[in-house]
Amino acid sequence: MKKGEESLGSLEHIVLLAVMRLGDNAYGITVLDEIEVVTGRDLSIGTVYAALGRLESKGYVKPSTGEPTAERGGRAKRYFHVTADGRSAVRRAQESIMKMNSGLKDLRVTR
Amino acid sequence: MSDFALRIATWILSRFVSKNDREALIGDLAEEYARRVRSDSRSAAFVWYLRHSFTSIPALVRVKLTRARWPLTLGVALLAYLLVGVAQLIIRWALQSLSARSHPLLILIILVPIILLIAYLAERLRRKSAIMLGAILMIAIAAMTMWSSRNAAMQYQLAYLLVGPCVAFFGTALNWRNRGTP
Repeated sequence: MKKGEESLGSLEHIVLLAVMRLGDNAYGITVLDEIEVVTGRDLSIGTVYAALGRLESKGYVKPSTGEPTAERGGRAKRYFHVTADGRSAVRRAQESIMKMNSGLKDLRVTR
Repeated sequence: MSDFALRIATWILSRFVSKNDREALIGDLAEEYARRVRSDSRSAAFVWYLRHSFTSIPALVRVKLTRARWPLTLGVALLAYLLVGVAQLIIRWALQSLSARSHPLLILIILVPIILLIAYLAERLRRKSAIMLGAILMIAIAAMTMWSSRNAAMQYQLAYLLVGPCVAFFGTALNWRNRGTP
């Protein structure tokens, strides 16, 4: 399978969606918070970094280094941005889920 | 006390994080810790920091293992070690067919440039494999010296123990000189 066409694991899918939701403010701790707030999943920061690392190696996110701040002990942030391949991967994953969901009346979301 | 515990936790965690992520991940923990100290309490922030430091380790170990390149380096080093063994057997057989006496010193002298060449080629194929070859030679010769039933002269055993690994390390140095230190 070519780079940029690899499938997404369920955690990678969620992390990629969190990075998309956060836009320019996506870095380790904000991704962790976003997932916790939206889904209620209690992940460790290491798990998030491991998933971001896999997404980076698949070419779905691109990191960039921010400025170091005193609050972080002079350490720089590592921002993540979704690539075009990343967006296509999310679209493919969503389509697969929609296709699998279609016709399953029990899974209709009720509000 | 809590600052000391945080430093220890950070130090332990940093052993497991890849170089790429180390600064960012530890910075993220520090940032969130500072935020939680302000919004909750120091003790709640402390618990949060320790929990994330230690629960992160399994995922980070998995990443390190999947990214590790040492199995291939070890494979090249073991192949090189096998070639050294084969070369030694051929030299021994050739010398024995010429005369009935054993020639441990002569074998060693002939083997030196061969180990050097094999280490050089192994290092070209895979960085750090010659260092690994040197370590394997050292362990193998030490083990053979201790457990072998044959009583070769001590000076030859020592010579093998020193010369083999030294030559392998020299092969590494030669390669780095030609290609630049990694």
